[in-house]
Parts: sequence; structure tokens; C-alpha cells
Amino acid sequence: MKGAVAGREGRLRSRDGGRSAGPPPGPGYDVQVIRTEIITPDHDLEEVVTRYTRGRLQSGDVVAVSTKIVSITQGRLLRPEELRPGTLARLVSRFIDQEGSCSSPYSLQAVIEHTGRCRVALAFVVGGLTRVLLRRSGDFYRVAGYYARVIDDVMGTLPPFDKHIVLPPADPDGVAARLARALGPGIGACIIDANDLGRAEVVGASPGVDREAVRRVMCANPWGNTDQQAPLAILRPRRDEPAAG
Amino acid sequence: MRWLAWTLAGLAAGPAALALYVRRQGDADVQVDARAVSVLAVERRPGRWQVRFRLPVVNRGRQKGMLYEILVRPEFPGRWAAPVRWSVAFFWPGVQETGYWSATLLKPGQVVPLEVELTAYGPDPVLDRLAALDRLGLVVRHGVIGRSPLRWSLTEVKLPLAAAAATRSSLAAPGETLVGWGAAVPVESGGPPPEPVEPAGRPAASTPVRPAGPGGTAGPGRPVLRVVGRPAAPHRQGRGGGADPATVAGGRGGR
Repeated sequence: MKGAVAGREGRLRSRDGGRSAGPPPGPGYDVQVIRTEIITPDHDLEEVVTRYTRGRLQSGDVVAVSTKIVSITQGRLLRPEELRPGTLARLVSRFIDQEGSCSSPYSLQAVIEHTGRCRVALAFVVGGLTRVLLRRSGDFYRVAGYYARVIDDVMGTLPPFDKHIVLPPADPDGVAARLARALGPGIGACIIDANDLGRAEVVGASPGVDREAVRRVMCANPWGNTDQQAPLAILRPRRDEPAAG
Repeated sequence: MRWLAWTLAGLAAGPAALALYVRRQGDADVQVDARAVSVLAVERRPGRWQVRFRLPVVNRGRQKGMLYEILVRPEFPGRWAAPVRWSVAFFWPGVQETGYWSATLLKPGQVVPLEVELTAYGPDPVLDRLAALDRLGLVVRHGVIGRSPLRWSLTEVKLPLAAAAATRSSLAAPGETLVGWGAAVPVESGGPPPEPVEPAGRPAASTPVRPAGPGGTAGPGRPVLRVVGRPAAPHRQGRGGGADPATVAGGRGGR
């Protein structure tokens, strides 16, 4: 995959002009990507994050954690075979672009089970109308909410979880706050859902973290979407910028 | 009554349009192309018989389809093969080379040149008999998620071992020592297969199960499939440092 790749615990660099040609580099932070072992439900998230960031942090840093490893450590994994897509899921998924996470009847069924049929149906109607009448995309996800935006379909994660649907993390703000406490004073933590389409969402953050600044810098998806196996990043405020942590 | 007709027509138009949309949209149709199966390499070592073959998978549908899982199981050749234990690994050259099949989205018309490495472990006489089969039956099951939920398909594949052997033996002169995928062994153009050799170099206690030759009851013997390369010819380096088996196997193995 083209674009920026993270060297082993190295700083973000670009290759082929791929990702660096997309969104501009985030203002205010330098990004240091950290590769880890494969994280499984047997791992403790706080232990993993503190172990891989030990000795690297300065006051004002923000540790960004991928939603995937938060979900995995919370055991929020589903096999498609565990779900039975209903009529609504089968129908609505046909209208969603196949690059999207909700294009599979299974992932959409998982969203329906957590969000509710009425909301997904409403999102389908609103998204369809705004796409046809206003030529605007993305309203389905805005109306359908957190689960639809952050869920990862099959193939969205590295083996051995590539055949699982990864649900969004539970209580992301609480998880980020606990991580920040574990990392020590002056250190922030946030949970990020980023993809190679130039989109990122801060789904949870500890108090004091500038969500918008973090979102901008993570739009470049320094973690990558394939087998980079780098779910952690240290965001260090640039010297000419005020600390965000 | 005209308003009622218009109302009913309006109510019917929605589902009809939806049905038309779904029909025109189509779905993924990922299939295993059993007719295009080709043997790339066969290797026989003490206690192990291994065949690597190409089994193309193609999406003939109009939508992308996720090849969620693929499973290969050899058909049971008979009670004589009961001691054999099998192992299967999948490779998509240049894309997935760990032996594990990771779920992948296939575009319409996309062909995956899937390579399967099938290894049998067991007593040498049984493996010799296995290697002497003309065709090995395989059962392939694959699951696909497209616009519709997971669907499993079954494909029966006949692995043309004899045809592959004929192709390879025609490339080598009798008595010529060729570089193999594994250890180099002399090629024989006929007669019974040589006795299996234990790793230490001593003849194994077991003897070939299948009698061959003019006096045999099971028909003429076939050359043992151990030859995958010609040392004199220029060739690419394959896995394990030997000749690329695909290069010699009738030119079918270009990557």
C-alpha cells in the first residue's frame, strides 16, 4: 500500500508521495509510531501502552491508541457466523459502497443490534435523500452514529482477527482517562479511529487533549491500514506550539 | 376510484423499483476454477509427500466479493491411506505468502492464482502408493460474503498427478540427475519406484506397496515424481534454493 509507513518505532516518513500528498501534516504535533506485538484479548491495555511508551514520554505528549486494540483487549470481537442478518441489514447494505465498513450485511446487522432498527432505517432514508437531492455523502454514518462510523468489518484487522467484526470500544473516554492516569502526570491519551481514506475520528480522549488538533494530525493515518502492526503513536507538541496534554 | 388505482400503483412502484435495483445490482460470484488446476511441483521425502498446485479462484459476479475462507481436504483414497496425516497451506504469490488464507475482497473479474501446498505425512509405503495415484481427488469448500450473506460452495477437484508426471519425465533424459525441489535424485523412466530411503541414508525397512513392472498386478510402474528442474538449463531460483518448479512444469508456473 502506498503512502506513509512507520518504520520500526520510527518517525513518520512518506514513500512514493502517497499519504503525504493527501491531507496536510497535522499542525502542532510530531508523530512517533510504535510497533507492538499482536495484541489479543488476553492483553491488558494499560500494561501494553505503558510498556511500549516507557522512557519515551515527555510532559505534554499525547499517546494515541488505535480503536482496534482497545476493542480487542475488551474482547469486542464477533465472527460473522454469530450474526443472522435481517431484512433491514440485507437491504440497506446493498446501498452502501463496498469500501465502507457497513457494506456487509453482517457488520450492518451488528450496528443494528447495538444502535436500533429505527435509527438505522432513519439514517438510510436521510442518507439516501441527501445523497440524491444534495449530492452529499456521509449522512448515513452521521445519523447512524458511533457504531456505524467506528465498526471494523471482516478484513479490517490483522490476522488472527481478520475474520472477525471488531466492534467499537466501550467507554472510550473512560479508557483514555485511565490510560492517561497510568502514563503519569502531564501525559494525555486518546483513542483514534483512522483509515487510509484520509479520515480520522477521536472517539475518546483524556481531559485536556485537543481533539481537533489530534484528529488533524491523525488524518494522515501514520499507523497504516495493512500489516504495519503499529497501533500506538506518541504525539509530541512542536516546540513552537503550545502543549496540548 | 381513480385515486385508489393511483395509490395502489404508487405503493407497488416502490417495492418493484427496489426489486429491479437489487436484480440489476447483482452479487459476487466467486468460484474455484477446477478445470484450470495445474500441478506445480511434487516432492517425495522420507515420511513426507508434498504437492504444490495452482487452483485459480475467480470472481465472475458483478459485485465485489470477499473470499472469507477456503478449505481443502483430500478425498479419502481408501483404508490403506488411513495412517496418512495431511496439512494444507495457501499462498497467493506476492500477496499472501504465510500459508494462512486471510479474508480478501475480490473485484469483479479478478482472478487469484491461489497456490495450495498439500503435504501428507505417514509411513513410506503408504506415501509411495499415494504418489503413484493418477489423480488425487480434493474437496474444496469456500465461503464468500458479497452483497448477500455468507455462502459456502463446494467444488470437487481432480489433481492430475499422472499428467504432471508425464510432463516432468519428458523433460528429463533417463538416468539424468536433476535438481529437485528437495534432494536431487536420479530419474528413472520406468520400472518400480526405488525403495524409500531413511534420512540417514540407509534403505528403509518398508518396501513399496504397489508392485509394478511386467510381473506386477497393478500395471506398469510410473516414474517417481521427484524431478522438478533441469540443472543445465537456465532457471530461476525457487523456494529452498532449488529450481523454480513452476518454470519446468510446462511453463505453467510463471509468476
